[in-house]
Amino acid sequence: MSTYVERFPAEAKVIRSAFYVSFVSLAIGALMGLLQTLHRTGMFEVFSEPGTYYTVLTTHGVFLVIAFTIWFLVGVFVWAVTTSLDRGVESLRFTWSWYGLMSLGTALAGIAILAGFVDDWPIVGDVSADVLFTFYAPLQAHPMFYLGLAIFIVGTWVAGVDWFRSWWVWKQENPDERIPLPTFMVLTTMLMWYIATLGVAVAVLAFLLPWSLGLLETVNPLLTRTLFWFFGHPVVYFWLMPAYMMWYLLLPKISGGRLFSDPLARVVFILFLILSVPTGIHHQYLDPGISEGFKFIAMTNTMFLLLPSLLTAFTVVASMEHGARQRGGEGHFGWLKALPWGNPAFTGMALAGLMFAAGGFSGMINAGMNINYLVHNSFWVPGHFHLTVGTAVALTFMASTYWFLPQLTGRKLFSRPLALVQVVLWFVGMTFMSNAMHRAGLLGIPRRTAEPWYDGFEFEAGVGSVGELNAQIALGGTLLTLSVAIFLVVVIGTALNGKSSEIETSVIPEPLSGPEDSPLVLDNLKLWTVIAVVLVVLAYTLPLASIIDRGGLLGPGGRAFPMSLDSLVVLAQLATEGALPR
Amino acid sequence: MRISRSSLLILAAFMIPVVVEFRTLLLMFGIDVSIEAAVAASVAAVAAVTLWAVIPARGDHDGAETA
Amino acid sequence: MNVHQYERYWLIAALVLIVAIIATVTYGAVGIGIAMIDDSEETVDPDALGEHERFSETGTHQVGENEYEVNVIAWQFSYEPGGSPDPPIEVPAGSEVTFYVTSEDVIHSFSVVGTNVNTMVIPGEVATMTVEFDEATEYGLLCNEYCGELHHDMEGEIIVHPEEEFDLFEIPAVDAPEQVDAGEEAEITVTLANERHQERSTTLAFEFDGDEQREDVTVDGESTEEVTFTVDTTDLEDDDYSWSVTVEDGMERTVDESGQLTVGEPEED
Repeated sequence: MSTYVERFPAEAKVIRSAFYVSFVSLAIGALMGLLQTLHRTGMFEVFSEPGTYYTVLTTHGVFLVIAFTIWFLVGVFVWAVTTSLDRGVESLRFTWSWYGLMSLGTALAGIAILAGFVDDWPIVGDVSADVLFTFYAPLQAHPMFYLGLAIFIVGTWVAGVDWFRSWWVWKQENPDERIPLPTFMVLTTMLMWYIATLGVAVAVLAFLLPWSLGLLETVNPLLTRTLFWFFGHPVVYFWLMPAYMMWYLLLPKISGGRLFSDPLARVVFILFLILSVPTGIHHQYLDPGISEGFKFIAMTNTMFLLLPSLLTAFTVVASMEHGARQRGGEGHFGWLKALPWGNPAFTGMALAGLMFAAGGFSGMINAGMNINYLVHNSFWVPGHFHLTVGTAVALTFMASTYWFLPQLTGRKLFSRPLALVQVVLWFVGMTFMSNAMHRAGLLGIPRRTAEPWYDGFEFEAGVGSVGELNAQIALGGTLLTLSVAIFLVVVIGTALNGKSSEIETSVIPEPLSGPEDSPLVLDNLKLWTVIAVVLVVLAYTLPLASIIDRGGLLGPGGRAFPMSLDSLVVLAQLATEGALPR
Repeated sequence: MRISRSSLLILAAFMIPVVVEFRTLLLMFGIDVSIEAAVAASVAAVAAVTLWAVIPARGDHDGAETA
Repeated sequence: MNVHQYERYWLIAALVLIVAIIATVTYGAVGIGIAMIDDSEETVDPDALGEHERFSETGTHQVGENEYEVNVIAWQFSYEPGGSPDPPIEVPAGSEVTFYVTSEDVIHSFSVVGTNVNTMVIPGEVATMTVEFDEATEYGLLCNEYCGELHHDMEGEIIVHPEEEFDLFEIPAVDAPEQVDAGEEAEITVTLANERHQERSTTLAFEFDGDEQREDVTVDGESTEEVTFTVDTTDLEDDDYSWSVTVEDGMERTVDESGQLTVGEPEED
């Protein structure tokens, strides 16, 4: 009984089901990425109607950063809790209920977005949600989009309850034991998520959903935007913390060693819990209506948030070196050669970590309040986050899939060489794309723009030319899409593979410095939650009060700019007149 | 093989960003290398590394495979 | 807690790095004086910008020796002024210009290409930023926040004129008769306002029935001059004639007025 599926067959099914939704989302999102990269670089005129670009961009954003990432990480969290507590979920029915909620939410929001590809639907008319991942009011999506989003988030909340419940029951039976590290990581991440999602829940439920249904005439665009970023920055840690979890748990194991330090892993996750949320205003450095002081506070918090990432860099590299030396590696740098580079799970995660270092540096630039003027909303920004969420998270998830799939299915990985080519191709493609995006951003080329070429002026490249940057971006984007295609081939191939008995054990080795070295206070989740809430209150009470005081809860006026509302009109007519018009 | 095939793959991958940005670096010093020349140089560099990895150890294809 | 010695060094180095970054940002804000976009302006009603004190008068206004204010409304999918169909934003070189930018519809940005002049434009809020324009040149202006399906078409231009060529003339009033009897002279008096704080000269071009009269005018800073054009109707048949007066100051922004003069008895419709 060594693989996960043998120990927890029912839970393995839950995780597999979550992963498959995640991978379908990845496929859809990646395809959209390819269309975008070819169109906006001017390589191919993909869209005869450039407005379609924004439907594609919304699909790319929401399917990848909401569906792909979160569906994957709930699977990982089920694995982490069940293995580390060594007990199945308390109630499978409950577990499938949050799976169902999340599926319903994904379907509603996804349909609202994808419906935007067709101008006019029979009966319901125009349905679309071309509002991008950030859905800034007064751009207005179809109500189904907001509703789907809300249901999806409630689903993740219920999932969190499931994991807390497992831990609670386990604790009654093991009152004197430390919280196992994987469960500790899940719980701290979920606590952070509960705090963070309050912002978007209020924005959607109190303002945007009623507004899209016509119950509210106006909203305060700065307020809903600020509430979005209350959630919008910590959500990146919701993606990143599971990736870190893989680096802390799987990477040392696969490297042939053990985690360097359990206590520091706990410290890192606590730092994320308390510092992730009170930073969102750094996305709003250039927003009028928020005073400089509040921006400064957000900047300071953001910079301190570098600390857990820098600590992680140390621990991960140290654990890898330990593993390499166990495998016979020697010398100052010679041990690098002893790492298992032929293992796609290892190589993918190592490359992801490396690119995250680059992404971290460009992130420091973004967070620098005054230099932000230069890069804000330029192509630099997607260059940055394709290194972080697009590589540190996405590539880590794909690489860890190569370890998880055999554990979850009992089948051998379809093709190790192909999987290795996949992760390396991601690295190469992302190098081309993200590097050129950063450089293009410095020339002033904007992000989120279908056709960034203008009548009145041209972008001047100090070195090289805009044309070659575009070529690099298109080449990189194409390689990345190819990489996703190979990933899917490996996943499908594995699912169809025969059962194997040669799969390595799923047991994670003990850290070099174990939980007995970490002070008990680290496990005091109540304390850290209180501190996190206090910091959020300190960072957000005054800005929110000021925004509401200045513009009112519903804003100083204005209108909605619906991307579609025909369907509601038709439905209302159907309800009142009992028949379709015409 | 001097190094395993997987190591060679990683090595080649690492060379790509270096080659791409080396051209930018040269441009900053006013040395203009055409894209064709840069592509040719990178292909040559990767080929050279591949040769280095493969040639001297003909005959023991399996021995150095750590992957 | 057991922390490895190297890890301790690393931790200290990380903290030093963080504090150093915060210090540089603080120096940028306090030492160099890079101000952030802030909440210094009151909110506005995006639906009533036409009645707003500032935004009912979009465009460039001189407020000090070489200080100017430019009021801009961003809209789906252009800038007023700055982008089509409005003229470009025009300012003089060597000036300190404060932009006041708001939106009448959705969230946009006001981003001057190749510079760090970049702000979000949020309906209901007014973004302000003060910029020094040293040299005469032209800048592109674009929206870098997705604002709807023609977002990529939203662009504009800022023209920085040499200081000595920069004019801010207006024609606040024209005193012109609507009708004169045939054979009489008609006097059309144009009030030319110089909204710069310095004395400026320009040429007024008056056109009546294909004939042009030009008059050079010099106006003191922040004052007005009246220029009278006389039309002799002796040789004209009874009819409606149109006239126009244009300030020929070399600016992209057109300042003109026009009207109609009826010679003889007005026609009964």
